[in-house]
Amino acid sequence: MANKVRFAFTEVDHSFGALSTLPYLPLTLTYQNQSLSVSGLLDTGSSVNVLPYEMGLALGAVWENQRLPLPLGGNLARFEARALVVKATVEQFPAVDLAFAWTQDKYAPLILGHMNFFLSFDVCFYRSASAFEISPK
Amino acid sequence: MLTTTQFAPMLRQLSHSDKLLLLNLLVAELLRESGIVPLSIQDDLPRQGLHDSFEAAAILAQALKENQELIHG
Repeated sequence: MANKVRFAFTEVDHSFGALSTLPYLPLTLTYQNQSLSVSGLLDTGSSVNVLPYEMGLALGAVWENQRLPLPLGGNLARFEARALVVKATVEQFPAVDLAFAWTQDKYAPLILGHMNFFLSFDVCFYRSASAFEISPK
Repeated sequence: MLTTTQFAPMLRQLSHSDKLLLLNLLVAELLRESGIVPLSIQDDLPRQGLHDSFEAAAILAQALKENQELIHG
């Protein structure tokens, strides 16, 4: 991959050490004029991006103004979710539009899934080395 | 279109079972409009997870398209 950046996996539970490392990507989300630095879990097992409720509010999004409801599966099925498009900036790469399922679940993680994170970036995982590389599509 | 004041007396004349069915209809309508999967069928969809939320993915694609049209006209 040309123009790529390499990141280390993040250890999420010190008591489990390397067993608990996951691919979290630092990125900046921008909605209208509000920006937020966050870490999103790269989840090739998710068909959609998921934005937790509080994060959407911190970006200045108004729930009532989002008019596209969408059905999520799994643990998030019991929470209402609506589509929200925000700008995302990863490292020095050009900003891209990411469409999120903005869920009312306050405890959901920020998930970067197929629609449309993995349609916007190419990612190569080196799990044995606890690293991944990313580049724009 | 009838107002609530106009049709409330008619609703009161419904049978007990029709009132229950009407409630069920309204709840189903509200859940569907909100995109929430009813609790009654969540157990019937054990395999549905984020990995196959394809309908949600299609709606996100639509949101992206509308956003692009808004920006670029």
